[in-house]
Amino acid sequence: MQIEAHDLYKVLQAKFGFSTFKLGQLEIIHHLCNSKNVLAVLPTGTGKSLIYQLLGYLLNRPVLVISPLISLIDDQVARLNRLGEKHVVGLTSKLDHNQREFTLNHLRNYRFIYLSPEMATQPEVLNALKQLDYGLFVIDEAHCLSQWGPDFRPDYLKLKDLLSQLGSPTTLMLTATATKSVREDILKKMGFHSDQVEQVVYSVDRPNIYLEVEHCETPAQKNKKLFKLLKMIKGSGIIYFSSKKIANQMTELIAQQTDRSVAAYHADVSLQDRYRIQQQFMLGKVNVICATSAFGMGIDKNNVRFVIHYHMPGNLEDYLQEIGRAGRDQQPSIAILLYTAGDEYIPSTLNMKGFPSASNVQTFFAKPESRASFEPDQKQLLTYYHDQHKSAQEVSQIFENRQVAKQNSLMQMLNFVNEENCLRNNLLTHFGEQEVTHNANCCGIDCVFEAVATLKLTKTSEVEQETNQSLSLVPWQTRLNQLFSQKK
Amino acid sequence: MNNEFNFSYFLLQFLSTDDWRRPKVLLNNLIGRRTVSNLFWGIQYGLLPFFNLFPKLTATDFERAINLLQEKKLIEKQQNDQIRLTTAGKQMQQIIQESIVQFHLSGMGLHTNLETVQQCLNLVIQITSEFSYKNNRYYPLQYTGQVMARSKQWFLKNKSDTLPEQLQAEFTAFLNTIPTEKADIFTNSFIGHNDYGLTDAQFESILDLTPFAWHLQKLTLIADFIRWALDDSKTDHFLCNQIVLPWITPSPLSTSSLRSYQLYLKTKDLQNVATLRHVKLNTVKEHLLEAAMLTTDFPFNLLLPKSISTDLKNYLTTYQVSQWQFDEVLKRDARFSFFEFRLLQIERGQIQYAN
Repeated sequence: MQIEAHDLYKVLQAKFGFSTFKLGQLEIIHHLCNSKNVLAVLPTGTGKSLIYQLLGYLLNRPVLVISPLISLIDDQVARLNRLGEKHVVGLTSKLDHNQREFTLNHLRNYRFIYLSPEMATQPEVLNALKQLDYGLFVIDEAHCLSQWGPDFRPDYLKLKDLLSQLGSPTTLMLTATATKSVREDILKKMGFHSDQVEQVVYSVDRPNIYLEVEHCETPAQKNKKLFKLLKMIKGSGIIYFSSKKIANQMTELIAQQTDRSVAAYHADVSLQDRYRIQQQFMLGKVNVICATSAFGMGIDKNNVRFVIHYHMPGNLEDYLQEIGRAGRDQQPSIAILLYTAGDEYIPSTLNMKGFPSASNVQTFFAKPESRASFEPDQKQLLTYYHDQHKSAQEVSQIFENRQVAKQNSLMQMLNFVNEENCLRNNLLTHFGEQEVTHNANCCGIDCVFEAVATLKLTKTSEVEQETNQSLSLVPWQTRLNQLFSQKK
Repeated sequence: MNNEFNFSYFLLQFLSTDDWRRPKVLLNNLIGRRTVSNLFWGIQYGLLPFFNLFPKLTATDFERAINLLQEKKLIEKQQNDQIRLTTAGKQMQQIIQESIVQFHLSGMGLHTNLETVQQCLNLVIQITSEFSYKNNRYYPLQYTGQVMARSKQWFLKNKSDTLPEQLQAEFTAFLNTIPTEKADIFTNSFIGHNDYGLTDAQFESILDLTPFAWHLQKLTLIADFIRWALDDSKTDHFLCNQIVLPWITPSPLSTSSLRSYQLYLKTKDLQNVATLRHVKLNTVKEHLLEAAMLTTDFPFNLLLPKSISTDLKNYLTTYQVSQWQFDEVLKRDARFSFFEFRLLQIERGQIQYAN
């Protein structure tokens, strides 16, 4: 399909309010317009979603987007709603029976259809999906296809069949992080030869984010450094924790020990509070968020100045994704990983606990009546392999291999933490990229306070110090007048 | 007590120093599991006002709360897991009572899920607020499909230039019926145009409440709102009534029990109801027991034996209703069925919705 550049810019301005494309967007759009499949590796914050959303307006045929999590789907639907788009639907388990029926019966009315791979392969859904002629088939977070990646999802393996059942529309596979072997694996799992797909790979490097690993002797010293940092560093930031409980505890401590307005943000926080916190964060009313790494965030705030890892992530892919929330405005920012010996114990335990044991696999396969008692996640995983006619032994072996792969990823993360030279080059090497020349604005080890000063990220004015405003209730009459515009 | 009031202490009110009680009954009532046995014991333990108010409570969190009481020696546990208040527990129960009396929930959970109504209200307010500022580009709150769909239906049905003004007038009418501080709390939580309200943590800090006390406070406020919005004697709540009504079942009975009960009132024949409804006779009996517990004017006389032997009468008056044993009743009057036994317990027992 031939699309004039003029039209592209017109839609970009009219629908998204931008006058220029970001790195990689235009190139990918051109490939897709020429009906070429694309595997795109674009760093976080470069506007991956805009690529297929913009095409959705130009193609006038539905765009099907496969996404791994309900929270991500909700987030994308809400963003499109915010742009004024009404013909968008998240086909998730949140719909009740009637709504699901209605949606399936009116599928052709939607411009954007988001769903998970599990949902897409349900017979009733698949039947409805087959009735449409798609402009584009999008696989978001395509690294979930790869068994070599840390986020492998077996249900993603069904996408190859799904694609052919839908008439093999032009396909866009998107990810923020994928090593060469993961990219090859993605293509293989989707049944593509390398000459059928254009690979658009941009560096994962974010030069405006200074990387810092700070080794702390004890947890107490870690807290002390954290508080000192929060007192000196300017702007807003995110602190990642691996447990909700500690995120809550630290939120309280930070509120007591510093002048920051801070909020905890994780799966236990109610829906409306997550919304409030996101919005308060966007407006700068909350300037530090204590989040769990496992929990996806719909925050698209450009001027996040720092990301701190209070606990280390389980792999470099997650690390990269999380630090990528800093400095989207391209201004100098810093990613600080606070490490105490033994911190790796938490992700390591999570890796071990994540898979069913060999004896549980055996029970699941041998005794169908036992299946109801399995945790939903494990049940889904085991059912998948059971349906693939694998034996219990084969499945146990798969899990063992996955565990080894996860432990290897953790070791690479640990190597990064213990790097004695350039952190950035350690990271780039992992993703198969060329090394860069180290300089003062690149990275540092155990010199966080100096780095904050060098990067000019130190608070400067008194006004900025005073962010922890005292809260109070607004009288209800005033509140109602604020909620509902009084302009006639 | 405000600084300490937590879920564990809240549970003390359902326990007694006089008899051993099953913790499972507490959990099942709080999460809204509707079985006859559960409702029956729930009523005996004073749980009905709080029925179904904590649908997301997990068995693990509940167990943790019970264990905490045991660690503090406020309760003791038997081999079979039944629990009883200690003297210290009794004292604490009395202290806690002050914190609890302010919450009037009166069995609202039998009619609705309070959280769902709250969500619908939040979304309707957000939509109307943005509409009043003529903004249609915003992030709507993301709730379940049903909440999203009903809120949208409400808006489409009532959309007009005067909608924000009318809704504000209705809220004003409601807020004038409750104390000022409560009205401030109720409105400060809402999300609207460029205005995102306060989070739970912020409310807890301002009001100096524990997370659990704040949770109960929220439930009480939304229950107050629902009662007002459903009050037939009021004429100034058309819009709010429409927000609430779709989520309410007028009868406290489950749909199936209500149908059986209505058919019984019509036919006065249990077997006939079973045949008409294509269910087992025992199921109909269960439905009627639910009706006997949860409705007024239940026709006990139609279902209980006309006369009771003197021996049985003596037994029944000697013991408290909750201590009656079916075996003992059978020994004294072999005609009694378990259904009649439970019915008699319900008739003679004291049922209190309100705390």
